[in-house]
Amino acid sequence: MNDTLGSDGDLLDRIAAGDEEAFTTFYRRYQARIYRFALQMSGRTSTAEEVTQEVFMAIIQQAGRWRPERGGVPAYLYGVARNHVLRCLEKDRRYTVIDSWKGESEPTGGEVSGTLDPLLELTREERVETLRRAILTLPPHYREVIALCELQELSYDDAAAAAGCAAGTIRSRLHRARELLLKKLTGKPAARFIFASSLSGRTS
Amino acid sequence: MNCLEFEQIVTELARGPDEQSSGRDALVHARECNRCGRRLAAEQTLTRAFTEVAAGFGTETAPPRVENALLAAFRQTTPAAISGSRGTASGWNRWALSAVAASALIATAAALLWMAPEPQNNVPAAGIVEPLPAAATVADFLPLLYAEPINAWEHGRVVRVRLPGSALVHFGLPMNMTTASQLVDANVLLGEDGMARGVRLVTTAGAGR
Repeated sequence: MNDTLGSDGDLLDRIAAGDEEAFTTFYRRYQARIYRFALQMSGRTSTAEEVTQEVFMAIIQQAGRWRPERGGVPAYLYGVARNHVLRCLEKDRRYTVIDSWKGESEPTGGEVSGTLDPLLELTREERVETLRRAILTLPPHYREVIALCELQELSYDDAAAAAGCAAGTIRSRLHRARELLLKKLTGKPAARFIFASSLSGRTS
Repeated sequence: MNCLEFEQIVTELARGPDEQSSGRDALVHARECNRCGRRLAAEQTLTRAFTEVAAGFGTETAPPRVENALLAAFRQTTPAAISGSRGTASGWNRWALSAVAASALIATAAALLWMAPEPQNNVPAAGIVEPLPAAATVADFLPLLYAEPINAWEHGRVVRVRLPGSALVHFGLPMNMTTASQLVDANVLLGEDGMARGVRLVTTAGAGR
């Protein structure tokens, strides 16, 4: 990003030199995105807060570590945030059991034929809450592509830079993640009352 | 286009207009195939729902206390600040400052000792730099706050230092007031970058290893 307050690269150079104003500008430019990404990944404000703090502490300590040839600053920040979020999720996994995904981790494609028309009949708040909950039950590597590509609206290339993988991998994971969500929204008992009318219209 | 080919691009099709010929072919297929038509409609509904979810997060921001804490840390970790407002440090920011200061001192001592002649006996003395034994585990080192995780490095060194008992509290270790002025030996784990990662008390000569 480049505006009257300075480009990202300039700000990082100034931060490395101890310029507090540059750090404040940089933090206010990106904190909301990082906080939301961590919140979308974890579902917890405490984790989002912790991750945001860790990401910008890393900037304070290693502002010169970013390399433009390896992607933009947002992708770099998302990458640092992703590592911290995954660490938090791994830590939490020892204590919490999320909805079982046995048999659903590798969708085969073509299985989702129910429509989501009834989703539109819900109130906006209900739709948002239903989908938010469904996203949080996805395995982390599928959840992160939904958060990066659909909610944060990163390009495949930027998401790939953040996740440290190829853009093709992001594309295929996104396809599978969306498929998992559709199966969850159309097939699980908790959601069936919402989508019941659409199921009768499935082709065999 | 058949159903299998349609399935491969349905996500892209639902996420935005596709001006490629394959996109136009897919739309034609979706009109002719009921199943793929419903599949596309479901994906498009999901795309719209994602937009609403993203908008629902639109007001979420980190609370002001995060910025305040980070600014305090920034003031304490920049070179100018270290020589300036150290007396105003508070909370976890003091830990960061302590860690940086301790790391700098230890790195300096390590560098000096590295150039010094080797000791004539095998008993580790205060300040000696020792390669980490191959079988040693880092698990019994108390990690320093805001340092890299101690299991993240592959090659490191252990530095024996002698500290006043009162310094233990800075590492989160219990301090006995009656022995606060006495010197205690500790092993400090250094990463490849020379920064301290963890600390371990040595109760007797060589016993802490």
